[in-house]
Amino acid sequence: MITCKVQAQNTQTLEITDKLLDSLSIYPQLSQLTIQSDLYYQLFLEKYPNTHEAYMSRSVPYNKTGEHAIGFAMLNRAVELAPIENLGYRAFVKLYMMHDYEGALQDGLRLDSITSYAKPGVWGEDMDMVIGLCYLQLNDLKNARLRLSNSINEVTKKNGKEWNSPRVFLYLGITLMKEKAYPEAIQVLDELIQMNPNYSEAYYYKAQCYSALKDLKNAEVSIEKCKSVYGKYGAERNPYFELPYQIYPSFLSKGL
Amino acid sequence: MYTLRYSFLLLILIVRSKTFSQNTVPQHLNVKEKIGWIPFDKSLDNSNFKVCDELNIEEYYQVNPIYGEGMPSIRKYFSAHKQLLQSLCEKDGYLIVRFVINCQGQTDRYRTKFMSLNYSDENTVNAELQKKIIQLTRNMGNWNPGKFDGKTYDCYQHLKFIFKNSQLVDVLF
Repeated sequence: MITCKVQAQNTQTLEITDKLLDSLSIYPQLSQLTIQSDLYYQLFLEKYPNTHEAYMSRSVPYNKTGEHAIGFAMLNRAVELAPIENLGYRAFVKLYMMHDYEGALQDGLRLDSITSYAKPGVWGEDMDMVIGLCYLQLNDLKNARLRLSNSINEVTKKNGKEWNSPRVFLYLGITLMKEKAYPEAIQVLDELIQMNPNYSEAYYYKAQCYSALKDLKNAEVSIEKCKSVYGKYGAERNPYFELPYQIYPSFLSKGL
Repeated sequence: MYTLRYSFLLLILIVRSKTFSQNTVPQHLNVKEKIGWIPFDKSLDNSNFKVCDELNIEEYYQVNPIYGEGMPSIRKYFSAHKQLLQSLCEKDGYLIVRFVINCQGQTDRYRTKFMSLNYSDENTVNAELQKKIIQLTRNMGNWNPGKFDGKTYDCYQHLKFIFKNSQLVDVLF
């Protein structure tokens, strides 16, 4: 029988009992940051020690608050218990929150292999896009191009071009730019602009390509367009982490 | 009558679920003790450092404090101290500094952690490096405080420093 009363300052007492644990299913209706929520998962895991959802859920606030040694200990246990369900989330955290591109790539490739190429999402993002981005960050441009192109082709085939994330076009454009395939990079970034004319990053990296081609006139046109779009719509942001290839105002004021 | 009752219940459920399911807005937990809480320690912390609301120190991703224009400004600041930091690095891994930014943008209550590149806790390693990171973070000066709906908030922020082959290869949050 598990019975425990917890009371944080200025909050009501929460009595954690077997009955409460059973009635709440696996997700408590509490903020994930609270001591009560953490205690709930702790007690839940004492009672049901092989519940991967509880390990994964308990890891989330630790990783969000920079307590990564604790967060990863829990997340690793969740992956041990249920790799298909948790490898994608761990890859996502390693990639975006830790810049651990090799670790994220290993998780992504393992998930890809054990799901028989069914391509489940990686925490809401297309698997090939995430794997392609890992390759890009590791400067393996050939594999990055293959995976990112595959992501676009598969999503387009299944659901239509508009269902692709704008970022997959951005990452493919940057991959091609790094391969010095500037006309092809510009073509991909133009596709992105056609789908989303307010995507300021596309104009910025297009300007970089023109600059590399020494086409300063078009570079200037693109950077001016970027400034205009950025001024109105800003750039894509994520509150939890800096996005790869995120742009900032100082980037736009620097010479090409 | 039933329609009214069920509408009321539905409204309560929606309000309750929105309160805690939306993680990127202030949550007003009205509590000090939570995951990542940094209690005041008179041996470490500045007793003149005040927060606006000790019971509602939000997380950075809920109120988005910013230093300069963001990560480029932070990287530029630390790049000036790169050689010094690298000279103090005894072991590769992640050095994480967590601190409070008050509603006026002042900072204090710095705490550090060190873990290996495979995420195991090795907090006793790189003690001098940890001290130096705190000193440098303290010297960064004021941040633009976290804001939401026009109101400024106290918040927790952390920065991560990645050392590989004794080189500082990245700074991130």
